[in-house]
Amino acid sequence: MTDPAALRDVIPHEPGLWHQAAGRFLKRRSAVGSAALLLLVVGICVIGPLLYPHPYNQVYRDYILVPPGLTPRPDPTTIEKGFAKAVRDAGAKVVEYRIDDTRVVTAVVEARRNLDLDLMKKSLAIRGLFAPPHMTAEPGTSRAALTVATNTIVFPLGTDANGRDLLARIMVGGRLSLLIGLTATAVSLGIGVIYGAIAGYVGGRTDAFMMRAVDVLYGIPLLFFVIILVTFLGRNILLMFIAIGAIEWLTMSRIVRGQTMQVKAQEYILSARVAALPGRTILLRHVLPNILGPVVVYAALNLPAVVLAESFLSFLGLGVQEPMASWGVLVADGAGHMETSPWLLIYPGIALVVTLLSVTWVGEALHRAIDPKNLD
Amino acid sequence: MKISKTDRQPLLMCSSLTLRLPSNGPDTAAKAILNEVSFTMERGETLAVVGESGSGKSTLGLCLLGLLPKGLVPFVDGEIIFDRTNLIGLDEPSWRRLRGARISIIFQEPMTSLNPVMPIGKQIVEAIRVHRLMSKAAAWDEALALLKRVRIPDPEAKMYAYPGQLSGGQRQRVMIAMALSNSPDLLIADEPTTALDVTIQAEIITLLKQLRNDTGMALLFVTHDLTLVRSIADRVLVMQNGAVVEQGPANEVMQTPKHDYTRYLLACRPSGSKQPIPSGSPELLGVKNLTVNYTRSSSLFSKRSKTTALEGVNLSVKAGQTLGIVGESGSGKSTLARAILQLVSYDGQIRFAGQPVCKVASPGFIAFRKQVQVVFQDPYGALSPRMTIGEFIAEPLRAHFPELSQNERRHRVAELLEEIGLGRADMHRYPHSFSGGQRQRIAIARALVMNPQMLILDEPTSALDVSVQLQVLKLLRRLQEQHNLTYLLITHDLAVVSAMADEVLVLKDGREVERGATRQIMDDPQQEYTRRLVSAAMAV
Repeated sequence: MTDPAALRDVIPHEPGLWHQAAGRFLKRRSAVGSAALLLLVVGICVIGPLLYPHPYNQVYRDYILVPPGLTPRPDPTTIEKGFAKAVRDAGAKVVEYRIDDTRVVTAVVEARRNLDLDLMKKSLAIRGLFAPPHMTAEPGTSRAALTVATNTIVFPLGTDANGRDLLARIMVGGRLSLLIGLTATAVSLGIGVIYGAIAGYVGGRTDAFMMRAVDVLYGIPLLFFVIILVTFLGRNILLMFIAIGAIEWLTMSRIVRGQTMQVKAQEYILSARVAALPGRTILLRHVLPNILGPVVVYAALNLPAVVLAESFLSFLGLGVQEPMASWGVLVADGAGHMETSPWLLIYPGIALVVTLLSVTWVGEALHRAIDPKNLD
Repeated sequence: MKISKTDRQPLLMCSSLTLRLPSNGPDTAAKAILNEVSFTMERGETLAVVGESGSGKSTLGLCLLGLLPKGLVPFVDGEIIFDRTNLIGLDEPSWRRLRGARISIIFQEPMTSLNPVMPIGKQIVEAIRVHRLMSKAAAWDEALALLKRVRIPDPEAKMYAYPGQLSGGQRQRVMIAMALSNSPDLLIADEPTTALDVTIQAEIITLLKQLRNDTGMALLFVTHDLTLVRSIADRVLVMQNGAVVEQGPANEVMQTPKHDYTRYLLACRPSGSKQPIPSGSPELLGVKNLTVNYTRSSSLFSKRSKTTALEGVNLSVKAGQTLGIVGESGSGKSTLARAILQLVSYDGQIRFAGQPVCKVASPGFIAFRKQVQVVFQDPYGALSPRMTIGEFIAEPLRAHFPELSQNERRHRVAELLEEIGLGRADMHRYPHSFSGGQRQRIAIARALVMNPQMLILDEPTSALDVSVQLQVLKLLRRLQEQHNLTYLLITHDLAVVSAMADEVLVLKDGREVERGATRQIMDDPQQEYTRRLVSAAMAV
């Protein structure tokens, strides 16, 4: 077939479709920017709660609906009142009180009878306002000099109606929302694309039966489906993943089927059949790469739908339960306090919008990158 | 028509019409889509504008109608004087008064130019009433008269028909009726017959000629086909890359072309004939009593309806021979190709190299696949867009010759690319960076990669420009001689068949009309249908 002498000079290999697509993707500034933004959001949600001082479920009863800001709390008046109360509880009174810029309290206390330093320590600790104090009793008197640092709390994005830190809840909620989005996208890509491609490519009766099965699943309302699952398997967050995953691939399979039928009629598919290529090869090498565009775009559009479906289920009590959070739950919660505490809606909303936008942009950029026509 | 004898002003005068796109970026030069196009047209005259794709001939038509995309309008320069009015810079309301009333157009594709959910009559009435104050009843009568004038059979009933119920030729007649509804002074026909079968093409040309003589309108006939010019045009304008390279009376240009490009276009008709094969060559492909039925069912449970695409077709091709299969659309010629390629199910017998063709998915079937390959019509759909052409050509080797190393595959591809006139470095490029003719040659290379004995060529040149057509035919001829290939050449173009085929099979409505040696069919057709086909092909 070939001149053996010519075989000695090796024809250089060129990067393949995916390699080139990656190159095109990295060349576009908007693509890289949105991908970086998405990675940043994911990184904050995953690592953030580990480094952040407030646990997502701690209730600060004194700090309900605190507006966002970097003001350290408690404020000096609260500290003074709290300090006086703690001292009184330990059977003493404040003689001298001073608070400096670093929020360290220097005071002199005097007991009515005996000064019990241990009781004083406990009383101060129980308020949650103060670090362990440094006390020196003045010998011969019932007085003691006291130096104590205050526990400073900052709520950068404020707190909710239960006195929980909003930033902590957004980060933890983001983990759940992103995980659900990822699961649903993986399922719709994994099942939906394969199922739709097979139905569209084989066609005829197989296609009719496969698509009727999809229609039947379409006919089951999501809510009904989840209730059935909950009834049989008990309440579990995993169920929500299963339920949403089971619904989300349906639309994808329809889109893929339609695209496949269109591509199937192209002459290069016919010529692949004439070359007796196996059906699997034709599907993987000729059909799938050419329907990737709509698939990527739909997968990116899928995410908002899933996040909203999750919040709907959670609202009905079938999804995420308190004190766990998700973006959907936070937004729904914020909507209830929109007039009095708008930050409860604004910040989870921003998190959601930034994520969805960057996902859409990344999807769009991927779509363009895998099309060899956009080579330059 | 109002033609005053003293009116010496031409109907249409184009002078230095230029459409130049500004360069985007320092490295790209400004691109002229139209370059200094100047010509005049008198009333009642037919001017043919001839050129290949990219020559700017359709853009010229759009300029004359004010239908250029808005973004392009600022880049137009020059003058179009139509009946003493300069059309350049005309505002949209004035255009609307002109368009459809005094200047009309018919397009290439009659399928998409009509609204599919509106009866024909209503659409014509609408076209009339846009420009004239007229009662619906009067417009209806007028529409009927128009349908009669374009000689549609049974016009009263056709007024109520939907576009989908008409044939392609009838739809084009309806388009002509609509274009004529306001007695335009100028009719622009943009490739009006390209999508039609040859016999219908001839009828439409005759109709246009008659209508022009009756109404005295001027006809601007845009076409890629120089042979049409002879039969319709008074004068001809040859365009290349946006510029007019030659213009003059049709006879003069056709007989004594002055410009090289015109000469080149005229020489591009396929010519010559195939060398006969040595007698006693064995039969390679034999088809007996082939029948293909398409069944379709609208749902799972409804009864299946059956249409017969091909009935009782016999044919035999000897090794090294080319059998031309000729027919108009709907004749079953592409179905025949698909049946031989085992892409559709059929009844009857197909024998290849003396053996009956095996069932799909048996080892013998793969052997058949390696021997018979196909080249399709559409060079844009023929290549997988997400694959480099090297991968695409080598793909059958990967599947059927797994013992070959990647390097060996590449060398085979390089060898083929050089054979079809491309370079070996081209194997790393994607299909979109090739022209139509190059793509068609790549499709041929892919078909040849497994060294088949037979190629089925399904309209291999119909979608290509004339000059490219000839190159592809030359390539096919050379490949046939070098590799002793057997061709089954399916086409509607009798000129291609007469240059390429040993024997011809004429199909109509799924049945054989006539079969015989090419010379005999072309010179002395026995059947009435073949005679009509040959005379239509020679006339236009």
